[in-house]
Amino acid sequence: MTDETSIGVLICSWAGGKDGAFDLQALKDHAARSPLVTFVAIVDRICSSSGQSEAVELLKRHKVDRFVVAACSPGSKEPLYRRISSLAGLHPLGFESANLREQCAYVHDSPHAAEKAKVLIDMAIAKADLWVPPPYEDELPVTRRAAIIGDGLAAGIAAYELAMQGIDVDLIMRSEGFEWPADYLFENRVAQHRAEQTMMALAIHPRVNLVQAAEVVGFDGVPGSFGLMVERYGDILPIKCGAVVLAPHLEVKFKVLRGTQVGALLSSDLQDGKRVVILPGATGSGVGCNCVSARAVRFAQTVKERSRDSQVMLMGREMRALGSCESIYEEAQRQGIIFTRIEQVPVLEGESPCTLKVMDASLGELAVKADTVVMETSDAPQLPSLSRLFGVPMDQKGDFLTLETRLRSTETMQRGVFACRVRMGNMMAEDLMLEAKSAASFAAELLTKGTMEVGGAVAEVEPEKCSACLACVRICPYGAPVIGEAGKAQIVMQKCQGCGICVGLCPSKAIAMYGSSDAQLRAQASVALQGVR
Amino acid sequence: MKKVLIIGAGTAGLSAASSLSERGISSVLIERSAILGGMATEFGCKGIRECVRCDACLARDKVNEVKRSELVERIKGANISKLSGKPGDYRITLSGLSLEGGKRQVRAGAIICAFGYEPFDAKLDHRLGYGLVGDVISSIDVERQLKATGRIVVPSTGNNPASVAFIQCVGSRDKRFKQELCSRACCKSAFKTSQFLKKQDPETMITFHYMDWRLNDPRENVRQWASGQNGVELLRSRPAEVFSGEDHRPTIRFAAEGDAQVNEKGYDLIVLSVGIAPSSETSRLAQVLGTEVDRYGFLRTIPGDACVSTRAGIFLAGCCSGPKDLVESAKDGAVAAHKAFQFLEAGL
Repeated sequence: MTDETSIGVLICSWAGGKDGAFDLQALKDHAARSPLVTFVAIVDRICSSSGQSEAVELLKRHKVDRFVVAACSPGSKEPLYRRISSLAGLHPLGFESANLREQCAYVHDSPHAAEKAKVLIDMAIAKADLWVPPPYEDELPVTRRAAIIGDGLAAGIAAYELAMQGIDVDLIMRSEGFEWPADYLFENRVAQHRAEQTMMALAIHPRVNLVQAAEVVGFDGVPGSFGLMVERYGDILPIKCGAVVLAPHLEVKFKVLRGTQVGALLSSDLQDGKRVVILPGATGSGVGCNCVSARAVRFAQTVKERSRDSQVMLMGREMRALGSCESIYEEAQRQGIIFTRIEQVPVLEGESPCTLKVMDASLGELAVKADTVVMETSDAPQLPSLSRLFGVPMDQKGDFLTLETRLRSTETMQRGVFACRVRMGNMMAEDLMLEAKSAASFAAELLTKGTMEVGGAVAEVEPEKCSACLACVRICPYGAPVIGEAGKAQIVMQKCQGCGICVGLCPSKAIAMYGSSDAQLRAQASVALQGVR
Repeated sequence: MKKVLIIGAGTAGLSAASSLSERGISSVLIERSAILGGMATEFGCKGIRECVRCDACLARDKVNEVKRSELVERIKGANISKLSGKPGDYRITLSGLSLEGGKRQVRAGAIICAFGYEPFDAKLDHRLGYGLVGDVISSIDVERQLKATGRIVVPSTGNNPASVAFIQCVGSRDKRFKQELCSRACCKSAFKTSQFLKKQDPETMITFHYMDWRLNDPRENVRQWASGQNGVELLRSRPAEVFSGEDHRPTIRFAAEGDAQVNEKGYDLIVLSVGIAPSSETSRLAQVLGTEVDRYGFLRTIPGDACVSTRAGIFLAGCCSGPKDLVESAKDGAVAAHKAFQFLEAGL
């Protein structure tokens, strides 16, 4: 025990659920016996507004410098405890939680739960005693400018949405002009017209700076103020921004396997009476499923409209026309487009006209003659390189991995970097636009607020122990450790996410994590192993 | 008037409220019932040892996030009864027993509708035996059971079911009930529920009667999962009838794809995956707010401009404008907030 520390213990009256699984008075008496503790109080529902003010009042009155909160679900309640701590004039992270609900009352019978609750509180007290205030900044300024990377609809919409919110935007495109989405990505003409109008308005918007024929080659800086290196005609152009939106172009194409070229299919050159078979992108296209997508239905409709006497067949196992696309599926059936349910990828025999050997789900094995066979493919060629450059991992289907678990599906694990998941399902233009708007919305939230919170549970290097072996620099998924001027590793607080990989890896044991130092964990473990005092 | 009125405190409404408060815009959140969180508060966690990403917990975290914000005023037990004023300065009359004198006036520059949906009433499709045949329950009943007890049992015996059948698309993609749209969430929910059942008791036999698999998440693959499990059967069929069999178990009469026979098969438990139907409030609120209803009975969005209604200053989020799952609703909420913010800032 250090001389200056004084710990308060707050026990929530609902810690064990509303039925009150614990004898609160017994817990209070137990905690009060600890020599480290200045005061113990039972607070009626600490998450309620009255509970919060009571907690603040108690902490102020007893002049403690840190506290233990014995309540429920620390994961979701932590921001609330931070607020209580700040309002009481303490360090916003000056508390330890003992989870008496999920880790105790919910999983043990009541006599065991009561005993375990005591141990959990003791452990939290032991840990709080050795707590060292971490570096923390709650209002780190954020550069009010966004960079959007991508060539297509998603990038354009994201840029437009941000610009309309009064944020200056750099739109960095690989190509000279927009990659317009194909007609068959739109459900109807009205939607397509609106999207085209938006893209047109974007090109002349005063807040949008178009950086065409450019490639992003470098990404540095820290959350809040990023620096992009953009290569354009051999020159390197630096771009500063506070938020990055990754919106790679989604290329949906119909690849010709046999017969007429797609261009000819979509003009009226196709001779009447021919049969066109459209297959789903079975494998390798990322969205690997045998689904007939709404895009394929729209494509089939276009072919059918151009040459009415041609016979158009869509093959696939599942029909996936979501939302109001259900009506185009029906419309297609009325137009005479034939849907065949197949279980496996068909075998193609011969050139044009060729024979497809298919296994129809109801009719058994069939041989279908076709003049033209096309297959739907979709790809986002820029996505892997963006993933590498910005450190946003990809999932097993080749899409960006985002923070869906927080219901913020376009936020990534890199703070300030937002990503449009363009390969989710079989996206239509509407879905792409919604994804882009959502990314723009989260980016706008950050830029409008203008500040971000950094620090807390971050790692720190003890320079005397560091041998600059680069182990941490290489392993960190966020690029937080760098070798500083003194030739020792140091961790950029804004980038550190507190994952602890470097702490475990460091061969010199030079890195420690605030809030989970070895000393704290040892103290906690020794309390746990001794049982109740 | 830089204030937004949000109708409905479900996932979409909460997400809009938190997004607005991050931007420093104050909002008034109106909730008809006595609790925040909407439909998602009735959903139970489907993970036993590991998370199966059913997203049931996410909505609860959202409630806490909104409760912490000082910029969100929450009014429970109230509803909208009148709208006057003009876009940018709407005056809204609220009514409800929880209000002083039963009424209250609120001014707001923009309105976000997020009043959600109602689960399809399985009784309407009476051939499926809901409420008539024992041990036929809806997916919402399963959620409630799971939430309350953490288990899924056969109602009549209280035991773990040895065999369960899921009937998909009950009140989805069905013209008979004017429910033409795919509900987008039921494939996912049935899949996660069956994962739970297999964890609860690996011996449970599961049969799906489905139309098309439409898991929106390409990372999930039902067929792959089913082929790796014992006793999971995927039948493409639209069952004709559910009746009480000779052994008093609920029995399905169906014809499966590639099989001309009419089959009858009994199960311990039958779960009807009910779809997302428009809220019964939709037409009343559309009238009060002066917005349009589309042919499916949901509020109309402008084509190519999701979350924007046909009236200036009124934005739509979540299932009030069409079926969506939890993650999509949250995404919608953030986009509607963004649109409302743009409207207030720039008058767009």
